[in-house]
Amino acid sequence: MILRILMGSLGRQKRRRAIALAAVAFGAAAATALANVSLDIRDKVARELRSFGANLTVLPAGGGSRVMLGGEELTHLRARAHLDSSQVLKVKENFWRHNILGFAPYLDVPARSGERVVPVRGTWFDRNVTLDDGEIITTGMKGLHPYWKVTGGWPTDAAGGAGDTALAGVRLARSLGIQAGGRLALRAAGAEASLAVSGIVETGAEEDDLLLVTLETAQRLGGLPSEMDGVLVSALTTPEDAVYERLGLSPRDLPAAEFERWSCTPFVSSIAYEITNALPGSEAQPILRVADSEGRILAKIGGLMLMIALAATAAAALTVTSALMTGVVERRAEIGLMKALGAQESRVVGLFLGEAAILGLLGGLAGAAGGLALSRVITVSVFGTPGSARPLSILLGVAAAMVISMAGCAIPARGISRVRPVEALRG
Amino acid sequence: MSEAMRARPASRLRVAARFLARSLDLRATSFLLALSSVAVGISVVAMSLALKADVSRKMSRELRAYGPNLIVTPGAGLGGGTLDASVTGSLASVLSRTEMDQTPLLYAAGRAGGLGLTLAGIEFDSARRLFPYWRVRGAWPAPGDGDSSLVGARLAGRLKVGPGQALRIEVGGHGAELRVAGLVTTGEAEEEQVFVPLALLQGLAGTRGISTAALRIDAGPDEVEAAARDLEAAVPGISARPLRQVSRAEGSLLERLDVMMGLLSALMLAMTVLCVMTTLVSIVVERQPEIGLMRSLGAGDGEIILMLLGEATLLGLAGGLLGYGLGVAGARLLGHQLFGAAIAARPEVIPVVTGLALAICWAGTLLPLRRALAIRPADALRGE
Repeated sequence: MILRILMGSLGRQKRRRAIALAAVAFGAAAATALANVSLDIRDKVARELRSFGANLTVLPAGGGSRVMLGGEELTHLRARAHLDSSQVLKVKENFWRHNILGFAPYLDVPARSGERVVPVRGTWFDRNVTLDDGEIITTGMKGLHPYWKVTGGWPTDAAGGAGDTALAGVRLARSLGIQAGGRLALRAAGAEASLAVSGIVETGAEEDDLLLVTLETAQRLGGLPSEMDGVLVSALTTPEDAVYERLGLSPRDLPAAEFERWSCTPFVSSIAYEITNALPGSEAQPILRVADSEGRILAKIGGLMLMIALAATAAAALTVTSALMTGVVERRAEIGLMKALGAQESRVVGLFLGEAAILGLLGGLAGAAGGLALSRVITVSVFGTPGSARPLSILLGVAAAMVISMAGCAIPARGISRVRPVEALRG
Repeated sequence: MSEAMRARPASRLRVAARFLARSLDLRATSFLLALSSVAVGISVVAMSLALKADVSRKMSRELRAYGPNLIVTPGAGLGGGTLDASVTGSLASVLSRTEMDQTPLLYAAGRAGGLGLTLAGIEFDSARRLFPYWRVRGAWPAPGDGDSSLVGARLAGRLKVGPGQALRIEVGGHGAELRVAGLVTTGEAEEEQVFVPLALLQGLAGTRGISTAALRIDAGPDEVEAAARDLEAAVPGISARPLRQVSRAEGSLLERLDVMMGLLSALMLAMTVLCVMTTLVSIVVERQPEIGLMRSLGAGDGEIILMLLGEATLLGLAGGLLGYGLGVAGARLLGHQLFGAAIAARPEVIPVVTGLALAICWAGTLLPLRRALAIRPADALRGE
């Protein structure tokens, strides 16, 4: 019986229903789009932030990092410690392999060109390597530093490191008077080499004073066939919890359950911990300049989007609710008639809520579909790549629509008991 | 005759005003409902406009955490010479129109605890502002504290010193006894250095100069590069290098944020317009019988339109202003929660949002009006 009345009521008054449906659908679309964008945004921004360069450095345990000042080594009195360069893939072949977006080993070798000291750094530019699970990746300085400005070309970087090409830092090139396409003869502890300079790089950082060559060339020059000074790593991380940040220096002191949670969350410190364990004799540390700021910015953007999504959903809810409420207020005559014909109050309220639920479901589904399309447009135009459609946001959109339309009916439904049939029928 | 012509519109207005007042009186509930929906919708628009205008500035302040984005060194290049200490003053005056901060640094090779190491002379108070990411175990030396130092954490492990202990440093033939105030962790070269007061190191090394000045300029990558060129042109003997990685990455991030806030504002605007219009359309649709009654009592289309437009105007003005107030309050709250600083209220937004509210209300009223006016009074009264 009630179902028939419900269907009849929905069938009639088509225009009024269409307007209400449109209102609910618009509200649901806004809620879905914003929820989807805000669920996706942290990941997108985190990837964007990776263009700041490496956020982790892997160094020999106990040994110190090198101190350079204006291109000159100032730590000459200290015995140098090295890592085994054949183990470098261990940096990615661990629990966090999907979070490690790129890495590059490096080895610094002092060399001479004539009487001039030329600091040489061997590294990977954009090398293809095969991981233990068969995946082939391209990694190196080029991927780690998308904003390096290179005039000329990047050196060829074959797996064997056979090509003796080099990239000269802009300040070094100016003081040596070399240009892209020129050649440079070098003499170092292990060997001599004549390198073709393929390009000049301007970074604004210490690389401006260096000659960048392939790792193998530097190893040959320095007579250090399987050594590296360290590895730069770029990893996708989540902002550290304040709790762990305080405890961050000694994760081993965490209680077992907390340690479990810490080590399974991609905090920069837990990724460092994992790399330290994976690469023997190493010590991985976050580069705080990058890692710290990154966490701060991600937290802010996540918070911002969440707040905006909440505010928009609340606004849509209020607007739609008020649209629906006017509908009920205007239907006093109908309510009066139903009461006059002997309908119980609960029946009338049930009828209205049933209508609202159907409206919410239909409007919610239509709105969710529209909202997903909208969020796709937003992420593509902001970040260039489409974000994933999260089921959670569809659920949120439909739920929001149901709640909105039920609330829009339930609030004025209290007034139903106050409708006196006689008055309502008289108008 | 001409007097009568002038009197007619006036009396029509008076009738319409009376209608309006009476209608508001009778329909207070539904007017309030419509008002709340306009106000809430407009508040979201006002809030996102305020955020759009301010968010990238707030974010660029957050990006200060990345530290300096411009380094000034002596022009000679590789490790040569020092800058005169007065250079910091010249830098500040060249960039007087830009929001910037700077700290001078002097490097010297020295010894401590039997190890050769790098000593860096800094001003602790400005360094603390410029390097907010330094994690210090212990404490930063107080400003003006002339004989405290910060020691790089990895170096401290080899020197076997901790906060509160004493450390003797030597540069050339001169030595000084310092207190270790804290240990610095950064993940970079700083962990291998000892930071001492600038004046003390200048005294030990027998120089009045500095090795570099690290600058933080709150501006986009192009402005940073322009500032570097300005500095090199204006101050002789220096080389100014933008930290390209930092400034470019920041610029790209801010640009994307800006585009995103723009799109979100547009989305909010569209949603608000649609939601508020549907509300208003449904209100006018519900009032068709009333309009029919008015017509049957002899009201002309003009009076009815005037009355409805009057209502819409009132709704738009009140809703727009109320919404602006709510939106500003919301933006302020958001600013405090996220950035610890209020997001500035922008009075120039008032005409925009009020105009928008008026436009929405008029459109939402006029759109269904034609149909309503086409209804014959008799049909409307019969309730069809």
